[in-house]
Amino acid sequence: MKKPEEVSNPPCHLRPFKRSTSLAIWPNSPQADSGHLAFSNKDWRNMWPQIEWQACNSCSLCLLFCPEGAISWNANRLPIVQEDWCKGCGLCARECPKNLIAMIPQTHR
Amino acid sequence: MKKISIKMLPDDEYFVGHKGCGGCGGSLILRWTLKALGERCHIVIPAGCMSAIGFIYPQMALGVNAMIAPFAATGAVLSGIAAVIRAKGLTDIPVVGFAGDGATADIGLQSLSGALDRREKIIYICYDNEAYMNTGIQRSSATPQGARTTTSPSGQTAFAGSKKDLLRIAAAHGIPYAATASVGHPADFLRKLDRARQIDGPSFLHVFAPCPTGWGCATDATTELGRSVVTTGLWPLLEWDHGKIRINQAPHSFAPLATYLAPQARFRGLEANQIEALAAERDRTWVALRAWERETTNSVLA
Ligand SMILES: Cc1ncc(C[n+]2csc(CCOP(=O)(O)OP(=O)(O)O)c2C)c(N)n1
Ligand code: SF4
Ligand code: SF4
Ligand code: SF4
Repeated sequence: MKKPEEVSNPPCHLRPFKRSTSLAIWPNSPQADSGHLAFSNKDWRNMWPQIEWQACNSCSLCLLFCPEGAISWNANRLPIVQEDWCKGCGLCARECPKNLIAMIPQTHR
Repeated sequence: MKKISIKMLPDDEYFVGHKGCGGCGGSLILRWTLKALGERCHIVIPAGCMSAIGFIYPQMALGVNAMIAPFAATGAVLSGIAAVIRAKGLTDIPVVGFAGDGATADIGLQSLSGALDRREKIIYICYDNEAYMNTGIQRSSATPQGARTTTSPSGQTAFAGSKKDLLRIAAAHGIPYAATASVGHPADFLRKLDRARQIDGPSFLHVFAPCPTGWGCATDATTELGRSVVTTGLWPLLEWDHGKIRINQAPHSFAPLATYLAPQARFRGLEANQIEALAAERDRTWVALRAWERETTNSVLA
């Protein structure tokens, strides 16, 4: 099994659980804290949300409605989807009020 | 205390890396709940999908103190945690239960009843996906009439009864606050969560949470179903606040039931007369609801 720390783990504005120092030796196992992905969700999806940035007004609804927390802001406050976290459900595309997100087949990316 | 609203939600995530199915309504509500309540929150999740997808070795999807309760014991565990927090004089820790419909309406009902009776400050959230999803889509007492499950394959159940009315059950305990909400209306849900966390005592939220896997709908239908279930009148948005019931959204006319039923495979076998029966049941519910609203707003006690 891969150790959690070897797995790519792009940031998603994650707020990992802050472990109390008195519990530093517990649990004595390769337990990963919250906010880590032991295994990528890449293989879960067959569609990918492609976001058209030109007309985006950063309304944040796509971020709100993603059950995975897979969308975050880039430096220009435009939404980016984290490759390893997205499951391709399409909710962000359904909820974008400007229809800027197209679900395209994963194989056509 | 900062008010909870969509705008005020922080970027921080406290429920990520879970293994819920794509488009899972329950996991979206849990994500919002923890974003809103923040890192001091202590959450109790009984056996069911959210514990199965949230606590997966070697990773923990929850970024707050979280605990799995025995299936029947969410209410009891919540009361215990709340009592300890009270005894220690802590006031900034929301104690939240997050349980499925099976864990709430069936096996955990007596435990919930006890917790509501003890009047500790807790927020009990039932995410209702209308069946026992984690063990393979078995019918629960919150499964609506006509819905196909693996234990009611034709959609016809041996029981003629309709969906168990959890809001009335909670309200009958005389608790200060109880409400229904839906994943299709996040602003309404967050407003109710905000109200619940300010209540000094138990509060109960019953939230509509579509399950694409169990319902046979598209993974991107979750939020749309969360709206059409309200416009068709099948899921009234209600608020029980200190003895008064308020209907938050009272449609003048209901949208055709097909807008809600057709996208879901679990309702595919319904005959026209069964759909009429569903509509009749809904109409009776609304008559009773309006009467309840009149009764409680005019009551001298309220
Ligand atoms: C006492 C007990 N009985 C049965 C089970 C098996 N079990 C685990 S999860 C589950 C279904 C949970 O259904 P629900 O509460 O509706 O939540 P959902 O999975 O739908 O989210 C069952 C029957 C158990 N864990 N404990
Ligand atoms: S497709 Fe689904 S999982 Fe992927 S970013 Fe959009 S809402 Fe999130
Ligand atoms: S929902 Fe659409 S407009 Fe709003 S931030 Fe996302 S992509 Fe931009
Ligand atoms: S079975 Fe349903 S409730 Fe359970 S994780 Fe999948 S979509 Fe969510």
